Amino acid sequence: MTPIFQIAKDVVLEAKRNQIFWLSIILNLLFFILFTVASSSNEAFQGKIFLELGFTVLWFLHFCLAVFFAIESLYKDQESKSMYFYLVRNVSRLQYLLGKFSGFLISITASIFISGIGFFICVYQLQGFESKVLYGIYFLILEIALTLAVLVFLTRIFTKIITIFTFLFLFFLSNFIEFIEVVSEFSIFIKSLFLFVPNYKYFSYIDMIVHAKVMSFEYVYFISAYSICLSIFFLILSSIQFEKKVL
Amino acid sequence: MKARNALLIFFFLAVYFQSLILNFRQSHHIFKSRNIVHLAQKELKTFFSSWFWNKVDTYGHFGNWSKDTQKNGEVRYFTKITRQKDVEAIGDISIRLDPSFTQRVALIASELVFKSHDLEKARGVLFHSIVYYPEQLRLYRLYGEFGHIYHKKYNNHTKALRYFVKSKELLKRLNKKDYNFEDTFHIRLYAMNAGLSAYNLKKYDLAYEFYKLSGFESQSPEYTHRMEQLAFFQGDFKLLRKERVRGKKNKKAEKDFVEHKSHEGHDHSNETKLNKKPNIEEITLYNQKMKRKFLSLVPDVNESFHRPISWKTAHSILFVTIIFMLFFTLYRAKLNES
Repeated sequence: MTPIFQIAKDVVLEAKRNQIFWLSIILNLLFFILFTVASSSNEAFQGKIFLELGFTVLWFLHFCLAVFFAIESLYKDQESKSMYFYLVRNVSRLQYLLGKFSGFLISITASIFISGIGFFICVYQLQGFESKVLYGIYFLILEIALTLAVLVFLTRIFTKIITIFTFLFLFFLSNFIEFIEVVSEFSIFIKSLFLFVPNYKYFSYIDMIVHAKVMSFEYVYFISAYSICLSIFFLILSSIQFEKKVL
Repeated sequence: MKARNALLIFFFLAVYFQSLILNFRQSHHIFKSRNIVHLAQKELKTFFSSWFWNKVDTYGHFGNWSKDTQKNGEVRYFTKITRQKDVEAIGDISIRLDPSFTQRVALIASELVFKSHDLEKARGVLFHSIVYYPEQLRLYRLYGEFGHIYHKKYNNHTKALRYFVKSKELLKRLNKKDYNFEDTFHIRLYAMNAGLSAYNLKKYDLAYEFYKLSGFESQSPEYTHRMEQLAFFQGDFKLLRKERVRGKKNKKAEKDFVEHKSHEGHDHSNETKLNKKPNIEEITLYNQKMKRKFLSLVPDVNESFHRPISWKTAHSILFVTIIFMLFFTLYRAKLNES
């Protein structure tokens, strides 16, 4: 386990040195302050609208951060050959991938926590204590974990640009997957393939956080199991792919 | 490598923007770059207006509802947009971004007057759309809405009739073949109100014109009696009886269909369905389907708003993932042995 922690620690240190990382936190906090000041002047914006705007910014900036930071870090390791630094020191390829994944997840979770605290204070200022915000932060972390696992897998197969575009394609496809109707004799086969496309439609939790009267534990259980299982699935796939790759 | 990537991105963006400009030129026949920028701005505003309108829908559904149990035991829910400041705020943003959506403007104006009692704001909203988009096809709706407001809310028949007459003139812009359900419904509604306004002002001939336009819709006994007399003298009595028979048949189905729309106050109209002749069975089925869908959106019925989870799919995913994990563990063990 030690090599995994060491690699994760290195990734966190890399994140600390990365300007994009700090920029996203500052942007998040600035947006929250801006929304709070704007909402204070109009009662209509202090309730659900503030919550929705805040969560949208929190989601969008951290989603972008996860995509760019993970892709940048993984390809930089390949280009600068720093990956070999780990691999020649009796670190298996699986440990390397797990270390990287854990590092990304810890860094982005830290960023979400810092921004989340800022957001929570603003919500508290306008609406009082809202436990729904905490659920929202939890769902966001799960979504980021799945995103990172998918990205780690894609980076093992494609080049940088193709990875970005493939990921974006998967993201949009999975959001519209319910509208795709398969009418052919292979429909069962195609539909079963759809099962393994990370379905981001399940992560439409912002509407739930904003509008729900009570949180659904059925959803909490489902989304936790789904994110964890699918993240492990994609990490295993990337490990198999990475083991086979000739470096 | 980096230069090649940058070149690829630049090439992709260049192709994208070029195709966008070509599309604009072909669809809108404009060639000056200034006009293209202007059009792009307009399209962007339209996009965000629709996005906000979508939010109006969601916020409207998840707002305050009152529960009402009918005599036959049926439970009904009614929105209370008056207490939903957020719905008004988003609706206002949406129509200010793009006032060319006639139906949205008419609806917001109506909500502002009848639920928030804010005539000035409603007037502002309607005039803004009329002034900036005088060429819109369904402009009659905005004048009709003005008339409806003055007639129903303020009993100012002189003003109301003035707007109704203008609305009737503007109705000529729209071909009868292009009427959708909303048009049919509102033309009748405005004509009914206009008829009453004209009758109250003792302009009986004008009142009869509107009475005819409303499909010989009955109102107070005196009004109906007077209008039927006029119909007899003008030789329209056969037409009146025919309309009455047809009206009775469709009334129930139409009422059911309208109920959901009018209470929610947003557009659920289905163009393809409405262009066809009304079929009572189809309308009833559609209404039942909408009702089920609509009830699942009411917070009192569905407290924790989330998408329904397909447990069959979810369990398949979890099962296959666990099998895959086991397989991988065995694979790793074999790899370590070798």
